[in-house]
Amino acid sequence: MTSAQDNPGQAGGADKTPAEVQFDRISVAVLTASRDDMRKLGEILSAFEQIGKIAATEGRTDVPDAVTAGDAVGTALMFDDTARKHWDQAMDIFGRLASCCQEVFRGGKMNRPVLSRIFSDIREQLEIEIEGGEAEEAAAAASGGADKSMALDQDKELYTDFITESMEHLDSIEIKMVDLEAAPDDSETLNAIFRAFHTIKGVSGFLNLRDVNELAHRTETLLDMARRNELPVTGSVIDVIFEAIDGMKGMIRDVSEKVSAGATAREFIGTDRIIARITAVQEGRDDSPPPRQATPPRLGDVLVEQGKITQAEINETLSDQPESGERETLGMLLIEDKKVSPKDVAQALRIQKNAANAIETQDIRVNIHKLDGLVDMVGELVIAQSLVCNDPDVMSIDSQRFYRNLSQLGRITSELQKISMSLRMVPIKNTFQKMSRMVRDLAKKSGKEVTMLMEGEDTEVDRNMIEEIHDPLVHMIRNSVDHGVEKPDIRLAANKSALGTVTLRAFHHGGNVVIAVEDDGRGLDPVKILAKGQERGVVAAGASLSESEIFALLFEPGFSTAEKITDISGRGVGLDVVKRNVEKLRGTIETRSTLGQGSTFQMKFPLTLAIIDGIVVRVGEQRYIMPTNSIVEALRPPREDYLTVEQRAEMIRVREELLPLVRLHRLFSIHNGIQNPWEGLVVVIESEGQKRAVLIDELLGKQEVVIKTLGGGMSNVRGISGGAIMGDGRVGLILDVSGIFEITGRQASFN
Amino acid sequence: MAERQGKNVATGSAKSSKFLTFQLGDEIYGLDILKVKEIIGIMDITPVPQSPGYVKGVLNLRGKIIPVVDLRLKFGFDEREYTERTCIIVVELEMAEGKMLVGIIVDAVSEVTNISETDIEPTPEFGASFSTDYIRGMAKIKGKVVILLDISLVLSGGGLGQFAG
Repeated sequence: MTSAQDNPGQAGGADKTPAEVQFDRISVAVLTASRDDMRKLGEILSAFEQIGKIAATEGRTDVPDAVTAGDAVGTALMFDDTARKHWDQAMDIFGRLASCCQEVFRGGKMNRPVLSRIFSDIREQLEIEIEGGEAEEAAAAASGGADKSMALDQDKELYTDFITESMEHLDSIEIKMVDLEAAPDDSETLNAIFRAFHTIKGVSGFLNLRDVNELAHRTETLLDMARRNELPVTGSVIDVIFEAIDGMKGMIRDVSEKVSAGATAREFIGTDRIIARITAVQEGRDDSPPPRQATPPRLGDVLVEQGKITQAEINETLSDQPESGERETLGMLLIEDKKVSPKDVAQALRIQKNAANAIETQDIRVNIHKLDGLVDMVGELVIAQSLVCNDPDVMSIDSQRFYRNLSQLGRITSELQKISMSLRMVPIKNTFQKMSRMVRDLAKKSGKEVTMLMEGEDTEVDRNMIEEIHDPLVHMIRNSVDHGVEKPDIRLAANKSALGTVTLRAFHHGGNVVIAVEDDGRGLDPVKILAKGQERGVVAAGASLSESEIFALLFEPGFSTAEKITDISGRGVGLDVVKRNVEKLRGTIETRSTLGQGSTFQMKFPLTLAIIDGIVVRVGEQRYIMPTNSIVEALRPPREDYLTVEQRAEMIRVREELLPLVRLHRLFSIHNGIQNPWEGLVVVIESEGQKRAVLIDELLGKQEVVIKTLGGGMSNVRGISGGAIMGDGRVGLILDVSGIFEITGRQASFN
Repeated sequence: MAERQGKNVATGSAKSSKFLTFQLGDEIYGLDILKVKEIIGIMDITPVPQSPGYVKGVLNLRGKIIPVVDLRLKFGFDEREYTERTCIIVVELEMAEGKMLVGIIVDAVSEVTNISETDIEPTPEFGASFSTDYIRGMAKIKGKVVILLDISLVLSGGGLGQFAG
C-alpha cells in the first residue's frame, strides 16, 4: 500500500501541498476503513474529488482518468450491494489509484501500464464498468495479462508485436478509408476504422507511446463524431485521417527503428500540426468541398435503372414509409406493396453491395518461410512420387490392388500440390486498393481530377508474385496519371469530362494473370514517338515500324516521352525499368493506344513464379523445358520450306511466314543433335511479337515443373532461366525464350 | 572456428586442423574438412551450355540444384573417364551472395587427417607464370606431400564468377 507515508521527506505536516493532504486522507481512510464503513468511503470520494480539482487548476491532464475511476468505484460501493462484496479489493484499488496520481503530482508521468492494470482489475474483480475504461482495458488485454511490474522498456517483443499489429491495422484502415470515401455514410466501414484506431490507441497507451496514443485518440474522437452523425464525412475529414495515418506510420516506423537499435521508444516527431488540423476539421473550420454523394447507388436508383420500377412508384412508397426507415426497408416496403419481386430486390441489393462485400473468413497467420518450406516439400513429394511410379521395378509388379493404391497416391499428391500452391494465392485486391490511394494523391499533386476504377480485384495471384508486380504497377499508374490523363481544362477543351479515369483490371487468361492499366487520357502519338526514337538514336532514321513496334520503343532504355521532369514520374527512371522488371517475372507488356482517347498497358504475368508449365524437348541426349506460354506451334517442315540466304542465314517457311531458324544444338554445343530441319522438329516460339523457329530432335511431353535456380554463379547463363528436377531425378534446364531471342539477334523477321 | 580457418599458418602455434585429402592424378590435395558438406559418388550431371569446360553442369542434390566443377579440368589436367572411385565432394562456400554449395569432382577421396599447423610449410614460389594464391601451403604426411587448397579461392579466383562465361 503505497501512499504519502512512503515519502518521509514530505511527511512533515504543515508544508504539505494541497494534493498531498488529499493523498494522506485517502491512505488513512483506506487503511482504517472497516468493511461497509460509509463514512470513510465518503472521505475517500471527497478526497478524489479534491484531487481532480487540484489537477484541473494545475493543468495536470494525466490525472482525471484515475480520478474518474476512483469516483466510479466509490459510487458503486456506495450504491451497489454486489460491488460492496469486493470491499477489500476496492480499498486496494483506491490505494493504487492514489499512488498513481501521487506519482504525477511529484513531477512524474502517469504510469499507463499500471493504470490499465488497475482498470482491468476494477472490471474483473469489482465487476464495475467505467466510462473510458474500455481503452485502458484494450491496452491491458493486449498485454496478455502481463504482470504490471514487468519492465516494459526492456520488453522488445511487446513493441515488435505492437509495430506489426498497428502497421497492419493502419494498412487495413487505409483500404477501408478508400471504401469510406466511396460511401461516406456506410456506418459499417466507419465502425471498422474506428475500432482499428481504438485498438492502436489502447496498445500505444499501454506501451507509453504517447504521441501515437494522442494522435490515435484525436482521430478516434473525430471518427466518433462522424459515427454519431455529428460530423459529416467530408473530403477534408478523409484527408485529415489519411494524414493522421501517415503520421502514425511515420511514428511507428520510428519506434521500430528505435526498438531495433535497442533504445526505448519515447520521443517522436511533432504531432501538433496534424492534431491542429483534426481539431480544425472537427470544428468544421475546413473549407473543403461539401460531402460527395455516396457512390453506392441507392436501392431505388438501381431498381429504376433496371427498369423494374419507376421513380414515381418509389416516391409513393417512400411517402408511406415511417420516418426512421433504413435503406433496406425500402426493399421490404416495395415487396410488400407488390411493386417489385423479392428476386429483383435481392439482385439490386447485390449490385449495391458489390463494392463493399467484405466476406469475413477465418484466417490464421503463418510464417512465410514455413509456408514456402511446405510448398517446396510438396514439390519434392510430387517428384518423389513420380520417381516411384516410374521405377522399372515398380512397373513390373503385377497386382491390381497395388496399382489402385498407387493411383490413389498419385491423386492425393496432385491434390496436395494444388492446395499447397493455392495457399500462397491471394487476391490482388489489396494491391489495387493501395494504388487507388496513390492515384488520389498523385492526382491531387498534379492538379488533375482522376478517379480510379477497379475490375477483377478478386483475381488471385501468388503472394510472391504480388510483391514483384507492385513496383511495375506503381510505375505504370504513375505514368498514366502523370502523362496520360490531361489537366481538367485541356480535357474540357477536348470534349471530355474533366474527371479522368484510370482503370485497373485484372483477370486470368490461360495460365497467366493479366493486369491492365487503362486511362482515358491523351493517348500515344506514334508519329511523335517514332520521331523521338530516331532523334534519340533508338531506331535508325527512315526505319518503318508497325504501331506496336513503335509503342514498344517507349520501353527502350533512354526513352522518355515526358517533356518535363516532375515530382511524380520522369525522374530518369523510365519505362525500360518496368519492362525489365516485368520480363524478370517472365511477363510481357503490350501497349494499345488511340490518340486523344487513351492508352492501355497490359502486363501479362505467370500465375506463380514457382511453377512453370513446360514442354520437354530433346536435343541430342539433352532435355530442355520450353515454357508452354511462349510456344506457338511445333511442326516438321517439309524440305522445300527450309530456305537459306547467302547460304548462311537459315529460315523456315511456316505457312506464309518466314521465320529465322535457331539451331538449339549449335547454340548449346550439343554434338549429336539432328542437323536437318526436315528430319527433326521445329518449335515456333514467340516473344514480343517476334517469332523464331527452334530446331529440336523431338518432343518428349508436357510437364509442370518447379523452377529452381542453378545455384551461384550459374544463374546468368544466357538462354537458360533455371533448372527443374525431372521425373527421373535428373536436372532439366528451362529455356529462357527471350534470352534465346537476344542471343540470336533481335532483327526483324522476314515477313 | 575462426582460428581453425588456417589464418595463423605463420604464427607457428601447435594447433592442428582436420583435412580431407583426395587424389588428382599422382598428386594429393587436402581441403579444410569444415568446408566439406558431404561426399557422393558420381551421378548424372546435366551439362549447362555456354559455361566454361571445367564446369561439368548441375546435379540434383536431394532437390537442390548445385553446380559441379571437375577439378582435373580446372587445374588443366587431361580429362579422364569417371570410375567407381571418382567422387564428388560437396563443399560449402561463403560467397558475397551468401552460402552456396558446389560439387567438385576428384579422382578419389583418400582420408581425413589431422595436420598440425607446424607441419604446414609455405608454398614455394614457382614464378610469375604460376599463381599459387589458392594454395594454403604444403604438408608432409607419411613422407607424402599434400597440397592444401583454399577451396573458396580455387573456385572464385577466375572460377565461379565466370561460370556463366
